[in-house]
Amino acid sequence: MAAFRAELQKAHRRHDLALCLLIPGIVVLWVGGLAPADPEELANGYSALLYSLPVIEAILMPVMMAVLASRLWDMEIKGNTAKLLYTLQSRRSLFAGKVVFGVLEVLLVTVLELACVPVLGRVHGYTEAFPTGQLVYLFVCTLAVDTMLFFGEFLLMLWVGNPLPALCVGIVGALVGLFSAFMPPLASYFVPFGYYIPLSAYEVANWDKATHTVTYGTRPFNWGLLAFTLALGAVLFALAWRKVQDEEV
Amino acid sequence: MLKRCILAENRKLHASPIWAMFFVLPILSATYGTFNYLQNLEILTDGWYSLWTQHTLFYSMLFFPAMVATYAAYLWRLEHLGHNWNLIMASPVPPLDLFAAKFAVVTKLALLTHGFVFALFVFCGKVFAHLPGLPPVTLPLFLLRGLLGALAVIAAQLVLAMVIRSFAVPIFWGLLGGITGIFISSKGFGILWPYSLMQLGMNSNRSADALAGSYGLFAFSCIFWLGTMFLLAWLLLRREDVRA
Repeated sequence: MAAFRAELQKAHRRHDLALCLLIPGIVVLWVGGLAPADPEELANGYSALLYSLPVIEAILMPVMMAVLASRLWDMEIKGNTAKLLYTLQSRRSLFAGKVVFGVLEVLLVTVLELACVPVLGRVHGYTEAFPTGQLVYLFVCTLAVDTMLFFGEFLLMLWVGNPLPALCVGIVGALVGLFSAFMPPLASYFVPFGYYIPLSAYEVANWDKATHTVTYGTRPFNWGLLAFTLALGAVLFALAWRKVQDEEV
Repeated sequence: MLKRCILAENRKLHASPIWAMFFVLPILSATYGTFNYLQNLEILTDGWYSLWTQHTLFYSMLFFPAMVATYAAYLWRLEHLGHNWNLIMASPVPPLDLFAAKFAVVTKLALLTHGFVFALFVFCGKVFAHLPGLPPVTLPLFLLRGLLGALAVIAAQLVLAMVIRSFAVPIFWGLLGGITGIFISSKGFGILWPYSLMQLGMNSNRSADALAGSYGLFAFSCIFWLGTMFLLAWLLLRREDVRA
C-alpha cells in the first residue's frame, strides 16, 4: 500500500489522467465523425460502432500502452533512482506498486473508452437493441490485450532502460497490427499488437457495392485467442517480475 | 554557431536506435502496400498511381507524424536528461540556433526517410508488381510536396518535445496529430491544419490531385505554420532559464 501511495505521489503533475481521458476523446471524435444518418444505419449503429472500435484500438493502444509503461519506469531512469529503490524497499513492493498503478491506468483507459459506446448510441439515437453481452465481451478482450501489451512494454523498459525502444516497438506494433487486420485471418494470430481485431465479435456480413451500405453481423466469441492473450500477458508479467528480482544494484 | 549546433545534433544520431525505426517503418509500409495492391488488382487499375496510394496511405496519415515525433523527442530528450538543460541555457549559443539545428537534423532524417520510401516504391513496383516503365514524374513531386507539408509537422513536434519533458507524450501527441489531420482533411479544411498538410501533399488517398488549383494556399499555409512554430519556439526559449 505504501509503494502504491508512493507511485501516486510520483504521478503528481505527470498528467497521466489527462492522457487516459484523451482516448475516449479520440473515440468520440473518430466515431462521432462517422455519425449515421439514415434509419438503416441507425438500426445497425451499435454493430458498426463495436466493429470500428477494435480497429481504432489497434492503431492507438500499442502506442498508448508504450506511453503508460515507459512513463512509469522512465522517471526512475531519469532520476537514477532505481538503485536507491532496490535497496530501500523490497523488490516485491516496488514491482507491485508499479504494476498495480499501471494496471489501474489501463483499466481506466478501457472503462472510459467503452463508456463512450452507450453515450454515442444515445447521442446519435441508435435504434438497434443495446448489445450488453457483446460490450462486456469487448471490454474483457480490450482489457486483456491492453494489459498484455502494457506488460510487454514494461518488460522492454526494464530490459533496455530507455523509453525509445519501447515507443518504437509500440509504433511499429500499431502499424503491423493494423496491417494484420487486412491480411488473411491466420496472419492476424501472429501479431499480438493487433489481437483487438481477431478477438472482435463483429464482422462485415454484407457490403452492397452499388449503395455502399455495409451490414454487420456477429461471429462466435474467440475464447481460445482470449485465453492465449491472457497466458501471454501472464508470461510477460512473470518475465518482468523475474527481471526486477535479478537486477543487480 | 548554427553550423556547429547542427554538427553536434548529427553526432547524437551516431549509433542511435532511432535508425532501426527509420528502416523498419517504411519497409513495413511498402510490404503491406505491395501485398494489398497485388490482392486488389481488379479494383486498383491505375498502375503506378494505385501502388502509390497503397504504399503511402497509412504511412502519411498516421505513422509519419509519429515517426517524426520520435526523431524530435529523441533529440530533445538528451537536453532534458540530468543537468543538460542548464548546460544549454548557460552556453554561449543563441537558443533559437539550438531549435533550428534540431529542425535541420529532423528535416534531414525526414528527407532520407522520404527517399527510402520512394526507393522501396520503385523497387516493389518493378520487382513484385511488374509495372511497366518508370513511375510518372508527378509521384516524386508528390513526395517533395509531402516534405514541404512535413516541415510544419516537424517544427510542431520539436516545440512539443521541447516543452513536454517526457519522451513518450510528444510521440503520442504526434499520432493524435495525424488522426486530427485525417478528420480535418475529410471536412475539407486540411489546408488550414499543419498535420494535414503532409497528407495533402503526398496525395496518398485519391487519384485526382488533392491540391489542384490551391498550390499557392498550400505553400502559404506551410510557411505560415512553420513561421508560427519557430516564433513560438523563440518566445518559449527566450523565457526559459536555468533550473537551479
